[in-house]
Amino acid sequence: MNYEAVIGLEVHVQLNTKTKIFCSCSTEYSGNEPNTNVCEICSGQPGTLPVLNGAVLERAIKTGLALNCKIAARTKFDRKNYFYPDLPKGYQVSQFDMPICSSGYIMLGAAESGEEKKIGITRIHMEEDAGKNVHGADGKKTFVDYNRGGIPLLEIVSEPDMRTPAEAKEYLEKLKVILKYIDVSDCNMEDGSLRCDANVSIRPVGEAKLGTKVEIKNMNSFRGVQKALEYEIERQNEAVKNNAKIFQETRLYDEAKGITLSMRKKEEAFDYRYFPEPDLPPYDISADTVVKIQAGIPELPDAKFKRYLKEFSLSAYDAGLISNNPPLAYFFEKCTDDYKNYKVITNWLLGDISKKINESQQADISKTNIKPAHLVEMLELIDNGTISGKIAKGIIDEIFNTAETPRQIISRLGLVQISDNDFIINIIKETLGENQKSIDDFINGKAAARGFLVGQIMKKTKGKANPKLVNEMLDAELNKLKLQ
Amino acid sequence: MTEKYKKYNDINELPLHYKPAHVIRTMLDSRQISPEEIKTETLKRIAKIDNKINSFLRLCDINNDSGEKNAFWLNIPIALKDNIATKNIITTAGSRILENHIPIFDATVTKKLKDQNAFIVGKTNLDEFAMGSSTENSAFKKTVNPWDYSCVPGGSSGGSAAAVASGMAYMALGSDTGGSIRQPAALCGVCGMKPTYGRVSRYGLIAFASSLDQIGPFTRDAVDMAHALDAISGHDSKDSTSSDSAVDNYSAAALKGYDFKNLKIGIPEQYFTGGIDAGVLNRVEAAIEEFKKLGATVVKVSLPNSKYAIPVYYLIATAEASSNLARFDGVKYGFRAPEYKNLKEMYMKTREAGFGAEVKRRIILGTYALSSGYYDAYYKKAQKARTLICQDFENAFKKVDVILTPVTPSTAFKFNEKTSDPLAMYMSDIFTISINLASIPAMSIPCGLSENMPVGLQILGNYFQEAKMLAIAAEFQKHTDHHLCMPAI
Amino acid sequence: MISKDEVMKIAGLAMLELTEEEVLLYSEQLSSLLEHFNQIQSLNLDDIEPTNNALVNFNVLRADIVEPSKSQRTIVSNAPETDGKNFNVPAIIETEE
Repeated sequence: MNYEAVIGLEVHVQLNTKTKIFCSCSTEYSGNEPNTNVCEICSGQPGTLPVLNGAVLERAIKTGLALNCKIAARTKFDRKNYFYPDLPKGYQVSQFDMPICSSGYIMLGAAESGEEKKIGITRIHMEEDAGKNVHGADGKKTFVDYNRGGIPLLEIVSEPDMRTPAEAKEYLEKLKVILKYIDVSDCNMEDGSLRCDANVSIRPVGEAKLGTKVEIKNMNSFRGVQKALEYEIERQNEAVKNNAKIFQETRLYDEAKGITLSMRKKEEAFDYRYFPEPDLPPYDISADTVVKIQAGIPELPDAKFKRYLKEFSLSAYDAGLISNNPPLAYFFEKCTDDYKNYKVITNWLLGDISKKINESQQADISKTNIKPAHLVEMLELIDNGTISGKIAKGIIDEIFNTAETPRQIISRLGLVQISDNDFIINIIKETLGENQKSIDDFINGKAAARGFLVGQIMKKTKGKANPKLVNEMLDAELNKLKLQ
Repeated sequence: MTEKYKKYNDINELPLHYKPAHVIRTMLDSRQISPEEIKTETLKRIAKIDNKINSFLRLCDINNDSGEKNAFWLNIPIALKDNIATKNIITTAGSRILENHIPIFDATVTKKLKDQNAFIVGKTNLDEFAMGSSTENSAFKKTVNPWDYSCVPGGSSGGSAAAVASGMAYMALGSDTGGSIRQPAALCGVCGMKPTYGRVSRYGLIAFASSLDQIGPFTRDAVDMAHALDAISGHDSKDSTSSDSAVDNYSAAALKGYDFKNLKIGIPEQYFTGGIDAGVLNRVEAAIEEFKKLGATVVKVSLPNSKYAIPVYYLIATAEASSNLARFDGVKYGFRAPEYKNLKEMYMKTREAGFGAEVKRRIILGTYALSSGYYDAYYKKAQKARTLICQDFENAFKKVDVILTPVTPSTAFKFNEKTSDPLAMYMSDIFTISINLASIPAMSIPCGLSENMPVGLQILGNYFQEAKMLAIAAEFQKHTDHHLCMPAI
Repeated sequence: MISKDEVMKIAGLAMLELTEEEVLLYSEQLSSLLEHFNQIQSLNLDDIEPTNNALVNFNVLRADIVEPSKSQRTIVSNAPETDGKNFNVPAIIETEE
């Protein structure tokens, strides 16, 4: 019997608002000393009360719209009650039965295979992040830091629509791209601004009933999610093969060993005793509010991809790469305002420029020195013969280092391409005069000799000779010699 | 046997410590007395009697000079219930678990009174976490009723009530979740008001039941009450449940008075059936007669869902409290048990030792009401029944301006009389708790004595009708002298 | 009708280490309270909306403007146990195996 995997993902993203969800402490806590980003409210002092950050609500609605969700006409908060040191109030303010968004979806596969698959999103809700428990080295104490306490989170819960670990990874990547387009979160698993728990079960193909669900936690990257799921599905398949029981439990992913481990078994689901948060009123979301927020949502990746194919005739591959990278897409589109050879733009962006971005270790193109105007100027200078493509590569390097414009760099380094016919013909004749053997080799059919001669000519001109002219003129001279 | 009380014929006869704040204000402004003298006299009074009354958990000496020269409460000695946060001054909520807790911020009401340069004399005793009706649940002291030291002052704001009643402060703030201002006000013969929910900020009030708690004043008379409400009312951006409806000028309204010929008073039949001491019922009915003599019309109203008030209140209040008290866990502040083997033990031993019996009982009941399998039957059902209680009042106020009722079924009871039967203790709140469920304003004013102990009259108003209620009460006090009867100490 | 076992289970949820006497006392007292409270069970409230709060201002929001946090020293000033920067608690044990 063939078994299929059924995967659902629960993603928590930290929103990039300036202040926490219920108090006015700054959200920039990364790298700070413990408990320096904390006030009486987010440390749960007696007598304090929450006030909702309007920007959190706005980003939640924006996210819901970008993920094709229904926005609740009325939403409210609830208390989730449990004891843990990183939870200062002894309850988390979250949303239970009236979440801000529901019934949305993400499309996968649009760019690559052309076979689209819809992954449903059950709900999105707002909640506050907890502090951090840091374990002491001797294992005797835990140190609690509330800097992260109160950071606004969105919890995004998918339907169990994914069937492979690769699909799960693709879902996460697509989600990240969309959220970066609407600029609500950094979505980095590495710095904790995106966290993911997976739910996975297996069942016979064709069976409608779901198998026993296992929750997987502690994955630290999208790739880690994929690998954890691969292991877990294998484990469950093995269990079924051996008639062993699959327990409904939570398992932690051990990255080093590449396996999942059972946590202390909880006999029954914990009783969180949810009840409506009495310190916060409900929120009515008007149709006007939704329209306004919708208007602020930029073109999203799926629409952008389709438009790139149509308007710019990009290949599906190029369109996919650019549309899934918001800063790159912005850069590309800006270039197209002033330069209409789109393929050339994408060649440079996806080639040398992307290479430089990786080398620079910046997060994306917008953090580097290169601007759309630089690229456009450079392409125009190539087109009008001022520089060669090879010289241009060097100019790209300089732009990244100095943020100068191509014209400034050319001027500073004296890079203007030599297109003076007389000058070039003299160098060619000089080179030919010094390399009789190569001439002979060429006449005798050794094509490589020509390349050697070109190299020597370029060396003499310090690479500045216009290659097109060099080639034309050298060929003409060689022909003359051949016919002699 | 010494007289328990003394009846004065008019304000001018009152000794300094029993004069209303508005008289003290005039005396200060006209330099009949200096701020230092008022301060000294108050501290002398406290030194003389508080070792018997035990109103104060702690004396402080806060008398800012923010430069505000025209504030009503400038230099007037006042007190704050010890569940109201005072920055850098220990605030215990009457509990061992916060025995040495020093808040890092001021409650909004504390700030407002500091801005007026009031002289904050001290923090007063209370039932632990405001849970109780006698102040017997305090972990620290036993506050007695200034009229009879063998009787309770009421609760949970017993310390504040006793302080004003015995002339140790001219105004004291308390908190009211199910009657904790009005009941002690009645038992101690002073005025006490619970404003409309949201009228006064809860920021800095150590929470008991979030949808029911309100801070309110104890005062000598209705005019003082209006001045107190002026000082503490208003929208607070730190409290999401705080109302942004316009704040009336309460003292202007109280001073203007009220023409009782335009006054329709509602008398709810459910509040006058059995279970009330004959003496108490007598005084309340006599007060209603006084209203009629002054021109008011009495209309019968019905609040049929009153009988559900006790279960509805106790299920909702304890549920919210069980959650609000979860933060007391020995991690961030307060008491931590001295010995434990692991984290779970630390939590359990800390809370077991830090909380008193009444608090634990309510936490258990509240946790139960919210727990899986019981939420719908208890908490959710109580919330629905609460709607019915609100509707009762909304309907009644369509016909009348205010509603008058007794405050308590009896005068102050003896210590330990009700401590072994929680239900009996809870039942003594029967006349006050519906008000918190409906979020409407209510005040208690003295209306005479029964067997030498004070009796209170409760005035209920519709949402944000405090100005009207205070005008009515002030007018009543122009024609009566119950508020001039003081304990003989 | 709250048994001793139920009281103990609830006490566990509420992190209260009750004594034997307390468990017995509370189960008696709470049973008698709940019996009294059962009068609301008889009400048919299917068509009634619950009231969380009779007076609600909807949509109370705050602007996204940073205000200074309290200092580290202030935040840990009331801590029962601290290393000056963090709140110290007994070690949390996460997994078995």
